[in-house]
Amino acid sequence: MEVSQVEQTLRDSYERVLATVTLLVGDDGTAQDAVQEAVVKLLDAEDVRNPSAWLVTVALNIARAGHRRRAAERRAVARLETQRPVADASDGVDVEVGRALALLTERQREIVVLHYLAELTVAEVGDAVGLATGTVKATLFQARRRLRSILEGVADSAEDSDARAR
Amino acid sequence: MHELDEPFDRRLRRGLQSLAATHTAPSSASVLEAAIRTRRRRRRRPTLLSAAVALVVALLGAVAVLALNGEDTSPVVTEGRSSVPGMVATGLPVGWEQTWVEHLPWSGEDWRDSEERTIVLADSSSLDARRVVTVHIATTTEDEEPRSGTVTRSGDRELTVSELDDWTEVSFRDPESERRVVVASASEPSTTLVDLAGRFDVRTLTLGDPLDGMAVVYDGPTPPLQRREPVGHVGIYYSHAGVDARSPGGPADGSGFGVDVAPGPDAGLIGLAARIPFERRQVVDIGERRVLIEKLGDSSWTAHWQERPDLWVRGWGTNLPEEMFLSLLGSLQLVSPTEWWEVANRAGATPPYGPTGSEVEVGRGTVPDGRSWAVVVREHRSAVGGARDQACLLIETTVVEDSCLAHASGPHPVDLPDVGEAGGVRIAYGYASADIATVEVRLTDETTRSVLTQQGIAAPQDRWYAIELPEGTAVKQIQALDSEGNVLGRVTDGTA
Repeated sequence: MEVSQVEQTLRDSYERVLATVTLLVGDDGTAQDAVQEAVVKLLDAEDVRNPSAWLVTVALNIARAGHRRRAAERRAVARLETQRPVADASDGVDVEVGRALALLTERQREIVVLHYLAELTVAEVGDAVGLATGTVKATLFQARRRLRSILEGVADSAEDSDARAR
Repeated sequence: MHELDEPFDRRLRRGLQSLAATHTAPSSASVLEAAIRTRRRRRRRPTLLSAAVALVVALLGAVAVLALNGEDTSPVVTEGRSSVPGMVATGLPVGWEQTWVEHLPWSGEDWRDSEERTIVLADSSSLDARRVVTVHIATTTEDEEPRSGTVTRSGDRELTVSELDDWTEVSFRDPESERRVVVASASEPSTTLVDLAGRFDVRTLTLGDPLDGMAVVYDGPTPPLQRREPVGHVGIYYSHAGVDARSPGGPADGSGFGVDVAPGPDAGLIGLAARIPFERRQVVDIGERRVLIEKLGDSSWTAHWQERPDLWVRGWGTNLPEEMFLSLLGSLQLVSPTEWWEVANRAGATPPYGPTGSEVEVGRGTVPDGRSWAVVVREHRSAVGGARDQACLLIETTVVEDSCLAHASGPHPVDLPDVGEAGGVRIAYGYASADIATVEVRLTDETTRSVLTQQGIAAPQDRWYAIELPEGTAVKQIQALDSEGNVLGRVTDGTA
């Protein structure tokens, strides 16, 4: 892509892309590195229809690969216990949403963040995570229902219908 | 396409945005500027790098020829170790060994969905020097696009050498399986990686049923040795996902199998655990054995053998298939720690601890698909102080040797309590290290989830602490404090 096009893409969606990757990766530094690397790739990419969706997808792939490999080596070297900081309530931060999000499966969380925060369409989410559109829709539906159950105390009454569907 | 019209959807989106807003980030302009610089730098680099790699490959070729023609210069080729079905590392250079293999699921991902498997190669003669290389084999043919880099050849392989800022990768696509293989390291130079990548033998890989994972040898991290009185304690842990089992409450996002042998306050117990879909209290006949399995919590189990009522099982969260769990329960050698030490002493260990490196097999069995497993205990010195014992659960006894590496474990001041009953009173009890003066326990009302109370308890001399749990409460958080009130450790909702 032309530098001017990449610049426009970043102006429009950089923060959203980075936020999405950060939420899914769980680490600022890794996410920033991954997005940075994705931007480098975007400069060389051709025929990109939705640059922001492309950035999210590529950055996530990079983050995963890097994270896994680094994690493997870290474990190999030291096997130190990973301690994640406990999230504290901060001004303006919807901690409840964060906690509810943490109760989803990884796949559900990923799809929810890509859809709601990165504002990817269901088809784009499918491309990003390698799932069929129908699967994305179903997962999104289940995740949303679960979140609603957690956040609003709405009974998760659809389990029966799920079971029937299966 | 977006369903953001409902109030709930709007709240969800705002919530996500608020979470994302807590992260600081460089500006988009600086990101673009850095990306352009990076691209420019990479486009310049290949000329020099390719020349260097070509030279190295030529030198390696010359060395190989010399080795073939010479008498004593031939490289020592380590025996291939088949620790994953279909994958064998052969022809590794002197000292390099395949030490363990693990699935690398993304956090929280079921290991069966893992897209990659990793072999960790370590120079066993210099582990202290941290010479570690990881080899990643994608288990699908639709892998990520390869990194850009310099292309070189080693044998019949076309390798791509990618020098990243703090990381070097050498990748190739295995023509037979079409899997992409990445040999990577933060410590080793590209020459080493090119050498290793050229030698590595990749055969067809498949992601099979969960039992496949049990073929993965994992030199489990030092188990929660500090959780119990150290005398005679043996803990072992096996994890598909490579999740560190030392987190109190167990590997929340990993499947695994644990055996925990310790005298603790009740001399003589064997711990063995897995989270499996049993009812709350169930008697199971496993072969000739009758075992009572009792669910204590979502991820906590006990099991009692009818034949050995003095031994019991305690467990933490894992996700073993029921069949596997039962098989292991049924085939575990039932010995109390006292008996175990008798075995160890007969084997030449010096009581109460054997000399470093002493090894005793305490369990052996066969999993349903016919593979064998063994529990081997090795004594080693811990960085925490004093002698500690370490054990490995080894699946496939052909790889017993060298798969259980001694390693240090960090201090672990306080443990999430177990919940039990003593004299009719429901208590939470756990272990705190010697320098803990106080354990503070926060309790929540299980109905309202609100924090009810906070208690300060001086850890008793034997390092165990215990508090009474009022009706309808659960432990929310515990903190370990030293005599000056400094927080030495904190455990919240099962996460250290």
